[in-house]
Order: sequence, then structure tokens, then C-alpha cells
Amino acid sequence: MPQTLMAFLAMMIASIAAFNQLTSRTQSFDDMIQSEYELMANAVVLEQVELIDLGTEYDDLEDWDGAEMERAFTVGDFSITFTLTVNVQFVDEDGVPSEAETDQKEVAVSATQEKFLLPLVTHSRLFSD
Amino acid sequence: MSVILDNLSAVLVSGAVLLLIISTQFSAQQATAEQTIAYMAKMSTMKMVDYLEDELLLVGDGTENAIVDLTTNSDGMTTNFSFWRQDDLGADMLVTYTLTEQDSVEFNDGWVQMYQFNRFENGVAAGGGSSTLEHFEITMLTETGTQTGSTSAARLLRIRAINVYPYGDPSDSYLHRTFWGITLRPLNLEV
Repeated sequence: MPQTLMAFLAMMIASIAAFNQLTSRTQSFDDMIQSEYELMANAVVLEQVELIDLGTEYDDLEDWDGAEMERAFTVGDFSITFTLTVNVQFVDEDGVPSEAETDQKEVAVSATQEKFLLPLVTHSRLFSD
Repeated sequence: MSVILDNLSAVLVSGAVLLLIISTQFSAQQATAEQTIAYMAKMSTMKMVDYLEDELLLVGDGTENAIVDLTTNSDGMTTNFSFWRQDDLGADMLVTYTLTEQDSVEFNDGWVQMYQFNRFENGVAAGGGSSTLEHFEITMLTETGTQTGSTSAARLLRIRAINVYPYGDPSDSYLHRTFWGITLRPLNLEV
């Protein structure tokens, strides 16, 4: 009887070790895949920030507030679509959001993807009057 | 009889436990090696693209002309990209990026042709980058974000790349590509 219990214990410990290792490996791969998505999201967000910067006058930046759009990261035959959300707000000289009108606006563009619950990246750029 | 059975079961149990531990250890080693290689490949890609980011922002910097040529093949890859910039001493310098074919490698999803990224200054080889690029493209965009073939209408440069990192038996590896992209706004394209 004691031998049986010892054998059972040994197998249980080995199984737990194997399970922990598998969980750790899966988590590690998930992290690597997420980092790939973040790099791709980074590319589409930065492009959108540049397009806003290039094509929008300072007074019209509010038009982008709340805007949502689909943008694809395409390279060769590969393509992944991200949803971009734009947020525009006044900030004071220290970059702190301000309810009152100031001389600076912060445009923040975030990217989300259906596989992930939280935004993958957010980039902000300050615009001065 | 019971002593024989006890010994037999002890051998079986210890064998099973040993096998489980060995396979776990082997799997952990393989995963660690694969992740390390993926990390090194990503660092190698980032090193190349850091340089590209810095240089492409200088397109047309201090020179009369900016982009000279952008040639794309049927797969959408940029095989030649030439532009003017100033060198460290302030002299005009024609920089050219080209791709040359390397070996092919087989992954789970088929054979992949790899390319070497080359860089030339005034026609003389000067640096380069990864030799395991699966895809590399530079696209010129107008200020509204639409693609253009006109160097005079270009305001943004969109760069996209895929770097592969073959390792061991492809059927045993899960990750073998890293993606990268950025869109740059060289201020001298707006002059």
C-alpha cells in the first residue's frame, strides 16, 4: 500500500511538472505572437498619425475625435486588419489633459485587434496652435 | 510472487516517471532554443530597421533631388530604391538599396525564397542588412495616403518587411517569421 501511494505521488508530481512546463511554453508563445501583432499595429498607427499630421489643419483636429477606422497591415500576400480609434483632447503645457481650451492638442491613435481584448498600441502626438 | 510483482510495478512506475521528466525537459530545451532564436532574429531585424528609419528620414536632405528610382517586381517587392542625401561631410550622395536572391528554405507552409538586403553609396557597396528577408517593400504615398508612382507627389514612405529565421526541423518550430513596418515622413519630400 505505501508503495502504491509513493508511486501515485511520483507520477502526480511528474505530471504537474509537465503541465506547468506546457503552460509556460504556451504563454511564452502567446507573448511572442502578441509582440508580432504589436509591431504590425505600431506600423498602421504611426501611418495614421502621419496622415492626420499631414492633412489636417490645427483648427480641424477635433474632427478626428472619436473616429474609428479599419486599417490593414499588408505585406506581400499577408494581411491583418486593425481597428484604429482616434482621440483628440486639449492638454496643458505639461501635457496634462485639460477641460479648458489650451494652445495644444493631443491626438492619440489606438489600435485594437479582434484577437486581443485590450488595445495593442497607442501613439500620441502634440500639435500646437 | 508478491516481491516480483512489487519490483515489476516499481520498474514500470519509475520508467514512466523518468520518461515524463525527460520528455518535459527536452520540450523545455527546444522551446527555449526556439524562443532565443526568434528573439535574436527580431533583434537583427530591429537593428536593420533602426538604420533604415534614420536614413530614410534624410531622403533629399540638402540635395537638389530626392528619390531617383523605385523599382518593384511582380511580387510587390522593392528590388531597387535610389535616393539622394548628404553624407557626413555635406557632399551629395546617391544611396541605393537592392535585393539579391539567397537560398530557399522550407517551412510548414511551403518553400520560401530568401533575399539579401544590400546598400550602396554612389555605386559602392556600403553596408547592408539581413540575408533572410522573405519580403521587403517600400511604397510611396501621397499626403492622403494613396499609393503613388510619382516621386514628386510622394510625401510618405511606407516600409514593410518580413524576416524569416529557419531553425532545425521546420515541422517542429512554430514561429519562423517576424514582421515589421513603418511609415516615415521625410520632410525634404515636401519642399
